[in-house]
Amino acid sequence: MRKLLLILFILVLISYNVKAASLFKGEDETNIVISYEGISKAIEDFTEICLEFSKYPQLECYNNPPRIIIKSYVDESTLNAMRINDKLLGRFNVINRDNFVDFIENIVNNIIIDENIKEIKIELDSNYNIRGGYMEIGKGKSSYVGFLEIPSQSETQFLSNGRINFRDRVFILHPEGTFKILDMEIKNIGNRDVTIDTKPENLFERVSRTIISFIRRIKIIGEPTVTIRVNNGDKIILRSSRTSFVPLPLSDYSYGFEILMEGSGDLLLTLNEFEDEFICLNGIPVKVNYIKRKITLRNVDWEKISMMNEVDERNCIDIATGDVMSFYKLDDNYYAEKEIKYSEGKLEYNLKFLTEEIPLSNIKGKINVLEDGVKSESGRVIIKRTSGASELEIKKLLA
Amino acid sequence: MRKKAQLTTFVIIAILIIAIVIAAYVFYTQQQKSQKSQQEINFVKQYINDCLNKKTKQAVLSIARHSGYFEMPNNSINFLDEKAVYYLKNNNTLVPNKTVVENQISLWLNNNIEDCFSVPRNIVLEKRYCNIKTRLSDITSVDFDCKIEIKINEKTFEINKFDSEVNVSLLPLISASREIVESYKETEPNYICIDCLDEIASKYNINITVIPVTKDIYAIEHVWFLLNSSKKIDDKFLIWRFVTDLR
Repeated sequence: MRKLLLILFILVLISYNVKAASLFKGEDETNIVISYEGISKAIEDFTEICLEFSKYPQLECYNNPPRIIIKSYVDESTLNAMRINDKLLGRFNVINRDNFVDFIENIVNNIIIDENIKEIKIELDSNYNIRGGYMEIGKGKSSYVGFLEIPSQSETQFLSNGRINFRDRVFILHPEGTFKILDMEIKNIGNRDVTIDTKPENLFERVSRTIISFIRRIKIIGEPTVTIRVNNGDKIILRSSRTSFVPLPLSDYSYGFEILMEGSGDLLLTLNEFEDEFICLNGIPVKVNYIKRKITLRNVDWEKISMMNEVDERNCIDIATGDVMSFYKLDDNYYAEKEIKYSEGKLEYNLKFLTEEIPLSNIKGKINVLEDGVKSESGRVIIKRTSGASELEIKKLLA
Repeated sequence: MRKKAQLTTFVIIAILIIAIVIAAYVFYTQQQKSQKSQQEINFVKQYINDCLNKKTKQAVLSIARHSGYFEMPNNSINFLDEKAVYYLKNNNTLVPNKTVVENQISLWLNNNIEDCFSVPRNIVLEKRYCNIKTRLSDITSVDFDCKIEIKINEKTFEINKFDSEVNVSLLPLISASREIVESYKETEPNYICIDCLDEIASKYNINITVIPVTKDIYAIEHVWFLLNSSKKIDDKFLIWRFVTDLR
């Protein structure tokens, strides 16, 4: 009898462990997390959505930050139940119920049951008519970009990850690469007249103060905000000033500029790629993708023009200040330095250029940069170039 | 009786004449000695004065090349076989003031004037005490309050006041150095304000030359040369040198 009880106890223990292990495995490997940008409107809506979703054991829902975790395969009866409640959920702006259920049925369920699928990338616009975003899902991971149905056309909301978010009336450009806008061309290709408001200063959600103040210096046709009327067939070119470049993927910063359009019309918006200058941050050269964008109301086309694999050009732009910098190579590393800058209207010269093997600019005028050093305009101040010079050579320099 | 009286008169006159001659001879000899002593004293005075003048010029040139110092402080480097002192190190301004430079010139002289008292012509003299005081103004002037005893013909003479002047002012160079350092401190690391230096150079009528000296990638110093090309001391330019570390 004792032996029988012991065997029974062991069996119970084994079965419990198997169940626990499978649960753990399931949680770890099959959860699909759909997360949303934590904007207040989404949080409000998710409070109600989560109340609704709490009755489905396959789902977990949280309102702050707004996210839905699909823990396991959602069976057909549950999906139908979710569809039946369409009217109830219809009032929610954040989620379009039909699209969401289709999405679970076609995509999420497949990911959960198919062990071979490791990740999937879906353009929600074209596949599920969920406008305003895209989604990336990776199995067993929980940090993904969500999607959002825009509740109100007048509100400006952002998706992260530097994608172009395209809506009926608001274009928000989130450039994927770091680039300088030279020309931006807007052409009205539709039949109706439209008015365009450019709001380059109204862009930023998660940007450091420094960068904000810098970006605020962007001028498009001389004014921070301009209204342009584009008549049928008209074409305008918005030309940015020298400092108008928009850095992006270097960190979590997300910014761009928006163009608000009143009325309805078809617009062709083209950003020209920038030329031979590229960006560096804190003296560290950054690889840059040149991407040409061609945006219409219905399509967003991306054309990669070139990518700088190596930083071997002479000039770049300091994204924090807009100053042109020079690159130089030292011990297989690249460094970026500004040779000349102005501070409170006074000209300053970078002494490093005279001690390192950096090509000097051949500048003449207020400062004379010569092969053997730098002279002030009056000739009273001379800074000798001593890169690589021995003491004997310095002696000769001084003679 | 009358003859005897006449003889006495002659003897007295003769004695008087002899006495006068002797007295005149003694007086003349004394005069000669005194004149010679005075000449010797004048020679010694002139010699020492010339020497001190020369030394003062050397002192000014040397002190300028060594950043205003004779006794070098710890924060100095050797550049082209000469020491120069940091005026800016770890963001601290270390420019010496007027009094420090005056004292350093006095110190230099105190240590270098010994050979001014080795006077030729075998004149033996003894320096009892020497107090040197330098004053910087539009010129550089030095008071040598030296007590010197000279022995001539077993007599001892004493001379004690000397002075010298160099028609060069170090004050603008000290002020210019201070302004350069302050301007350098205000710029961003690595940068030097060319316009500010140009203004300082014009204000003090000097030329500024900067030599960046790289010891290794982390140790870069800048040796500064301030030169007033319109002022020379014995055909030598007065060059004021100092060092700053890389900011």
